[in-house]
Amino acid sequence: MRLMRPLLAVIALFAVWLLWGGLYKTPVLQLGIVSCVLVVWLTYRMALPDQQEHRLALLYRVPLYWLWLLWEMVVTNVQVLRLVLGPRSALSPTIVEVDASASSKFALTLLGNSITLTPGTLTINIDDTRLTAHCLTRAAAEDLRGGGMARRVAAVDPD
Amino acid sequence: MNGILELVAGLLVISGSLFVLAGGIGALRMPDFYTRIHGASLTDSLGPVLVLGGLMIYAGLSLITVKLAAVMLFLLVTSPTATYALANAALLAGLKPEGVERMPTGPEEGA
Repeated sequence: MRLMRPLLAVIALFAVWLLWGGLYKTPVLQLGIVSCVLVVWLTYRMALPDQQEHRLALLYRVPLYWLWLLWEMVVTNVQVLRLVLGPRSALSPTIVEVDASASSKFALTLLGNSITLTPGTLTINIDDTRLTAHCLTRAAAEDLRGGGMARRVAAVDPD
Repeated sequence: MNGILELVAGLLVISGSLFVLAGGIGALRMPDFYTRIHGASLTDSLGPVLVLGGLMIYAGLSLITVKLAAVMLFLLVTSPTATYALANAALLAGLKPEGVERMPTGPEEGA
């Protein structure tokens, strides 16, 4: 039973290898199996996978969240584009802390990555209860402090 | 029909490239390390999304499109992680952000 998860991981990785490669010769396949096993071994060596239950609901909630995030990215990209090409006086760097004490590790990662992915806000530190972000302007920091993104992430993976 | 699709694909690739260019300009123009990361982050958010989106339209419904979608997905997961590693390393090494203002904890704490 304990070998089940790594074995499934190897099989999934190898399926992806077959799909990507499109080259079905024996040495290539052997190489594929070896590298899949290597990757899984390295991952297990680095950290055991979290014991959190994996909910199927994430399968549709995360893509829906990504759609929202994509729109957010368009908006913030245009804002930062203006800041980059405009005068320096428009910058007002601000550091803000977002409370994330109620989040699972997955939600924390998703939130941290989302903040970094939208230009103008940058996650610089994460611990178990809060997340520190560097923002290019006051307005971006105010937005982040409003907690809209944190609420959406919490809705994706409620604990 | 095909002409229009190709036109849209081309426009997406060009606008994506402009974002990447602006990211380069941002990395050079911004005043300090952390703000430079902000400038450069244009390069790995909307830029590749637009370029890869354009290429996906250009490739049509095929395995190539699936691969391009996978590339985009991996990029969107790994690049903010790498950016975080960079910024966090700078912070731990003791590099202070220049001219920043600190805001109290949010959201709506003690309000």
